[in-house]
Amino acid sequence: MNRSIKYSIFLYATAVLVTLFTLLPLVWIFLMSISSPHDLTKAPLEWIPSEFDFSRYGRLVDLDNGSGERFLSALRNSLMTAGGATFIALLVAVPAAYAFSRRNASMALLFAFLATIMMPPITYILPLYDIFSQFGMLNSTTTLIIVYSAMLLPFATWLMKSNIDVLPVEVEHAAFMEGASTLFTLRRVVLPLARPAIAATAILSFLVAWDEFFYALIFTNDLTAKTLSVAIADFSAGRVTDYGVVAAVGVLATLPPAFLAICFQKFIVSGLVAGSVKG
Amino acid sequence: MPSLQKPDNETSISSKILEVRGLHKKFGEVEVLKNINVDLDDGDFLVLVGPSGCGKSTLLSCIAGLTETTSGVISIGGDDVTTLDPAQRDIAMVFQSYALFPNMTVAENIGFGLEVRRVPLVERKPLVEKAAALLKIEDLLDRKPAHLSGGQRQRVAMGRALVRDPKLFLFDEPLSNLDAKLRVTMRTEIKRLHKRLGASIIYVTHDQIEAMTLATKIVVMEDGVVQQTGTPREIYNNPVNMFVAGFMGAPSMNLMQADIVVKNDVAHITIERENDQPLVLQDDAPPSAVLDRQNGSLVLGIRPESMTDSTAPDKQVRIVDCLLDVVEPAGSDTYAVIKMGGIEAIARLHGEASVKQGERTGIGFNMSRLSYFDPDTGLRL
Repeated sequence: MNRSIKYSIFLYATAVLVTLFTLLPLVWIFLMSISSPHDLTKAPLEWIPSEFDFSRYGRLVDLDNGSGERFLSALRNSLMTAGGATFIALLVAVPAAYAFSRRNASMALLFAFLATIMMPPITYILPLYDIFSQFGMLNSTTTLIIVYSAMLLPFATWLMKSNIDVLPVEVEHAAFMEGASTLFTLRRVVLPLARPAIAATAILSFLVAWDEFFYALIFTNDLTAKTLSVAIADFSAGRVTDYGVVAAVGVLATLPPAFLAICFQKFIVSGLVAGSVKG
Repeated sequence: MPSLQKPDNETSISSKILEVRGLHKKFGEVEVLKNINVDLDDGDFLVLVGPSGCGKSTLLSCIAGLTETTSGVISIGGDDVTTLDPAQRDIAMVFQSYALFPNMTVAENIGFGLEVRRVPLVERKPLVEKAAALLKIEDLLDRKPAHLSGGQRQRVAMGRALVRDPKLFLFDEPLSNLDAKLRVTMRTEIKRLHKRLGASIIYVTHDQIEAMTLATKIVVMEDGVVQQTGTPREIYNNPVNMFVAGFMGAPSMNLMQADIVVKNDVAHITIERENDQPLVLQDDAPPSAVLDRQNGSLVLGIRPESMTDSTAPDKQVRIVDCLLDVVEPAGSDTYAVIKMGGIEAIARLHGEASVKQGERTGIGFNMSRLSYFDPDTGLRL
């Protein structure tokens, strides 16, 4: 590698700029969460707080007195809905993607699938609300899992399909020639090769479900089903709003997806197919 | 009352390993296979050979069951398998791209077919080791395909096919990704393997030398049609048309324009030459089709080795002086280009032949090895 110094400087400057651009809001949220209310309302604004106050985090996980119950049940609901919906979406998306990619399933069907997520959610809210209330299923985690699965499925299928498309088809043919069924081939050959794609799809799906606000706002109304994105708003309600608490909840809410991304990072490596076929 | 008896032709049991009858394959409007008929006896090594796009790989894929046929019947071991899945045909295939499972070790790759058939691990192990020993890859069993060389991958792919003793082996251009030297080694090994196992093999290649050296039976294809089926010697010595004559053999057969005059069952052949007197040859025993045509122009085929500087006296050989346009020494042989009959004919001289470009020298034409072709239909006379 022979890069000129000018080019290197340009490269690093750009990298720093992008890093600042993405990280600054996060840093600011974190600073807010440990600043005293007094610092937060000062004008002009104090960027560096005069004292570090971690008490809000303590109160958020304190079940006895404080807002522990509110926060932790919202966290539980978010984990269950996002995790459950991601799991179901992947369970259905992988075989569906295989059918679209390898078995000539109609592409019109896939685009019809995709069209459903291009409509604004508000068009679905009323009929869905009507249906779920008739079944007595409002304010339930299960309901959100159903809605989110349906929301994630088209995108997950599409993403998985384009990833299966580029896997070498001869490897599957070889498995069929050896007498393997489609299911066996899918499990033993395709899935291991598609692991990076599955990890990426899982992370993206989880994030979409984790951040979803609108359906959760309409379909849930108390601690049994409210997810974090909706619950955050509750912390700002009331007569006095402590922006620091909202920020602290925000910081904690970013941790599970971040943790998931770090865990799956090792799967998202290229070169899994290396050695199977000669290019 | 209608008879419930089966027609006779369905009750007859075939002893052949493979029979392909009247096979057609269309991709949309394009017909890539036209009325293919191929037979394979037990223990035969059949090579499908032809230029790129002739349909040989599609035919193999149809036999494998990876491509659906448009019409026709394929039977393996006497059973009609036309509509069966690849898994139900009891065949094994070695792919051009090796198609190894990258997530599995060499041992798992070779044992995959046994794993699918739920053979217990304790029984699988000795079978895998036996196949690996046959292919000399015992030391590689714990490696992943990414850590193997091309030749080693090819052996693993063959091991995977060998391990479960199928009725029929299919090879799809297995050597075309290897370098020239390794290709020759592997070719010899495949031939040795065939002899040792007595396996029935269908082998696709575009390399006519591979076809000649490996096959017990060659099927030459062009444009989705079987041009000729026969032993390597039949194909080489008696090509049925100009395509087969030109495709098989390297350098290929010289196909030149010639005028024939038949007198007293002797064919007098005149070949025009650039900047020279016409070359006149005399064939005392031409095929009857040439005698029937009497006089006229046709295409004369002579292999380079039948145009040589051999000085051994032979009454079949006519020696004529020719102008050597280009001389190409190739070590064991020396090739000389002679402009005659509208083409640049190649003569194969001895490696030590002391001839020079632009020189005139006596070339011996072996009259017993001539082929005659109809210039309009391209068919052998």
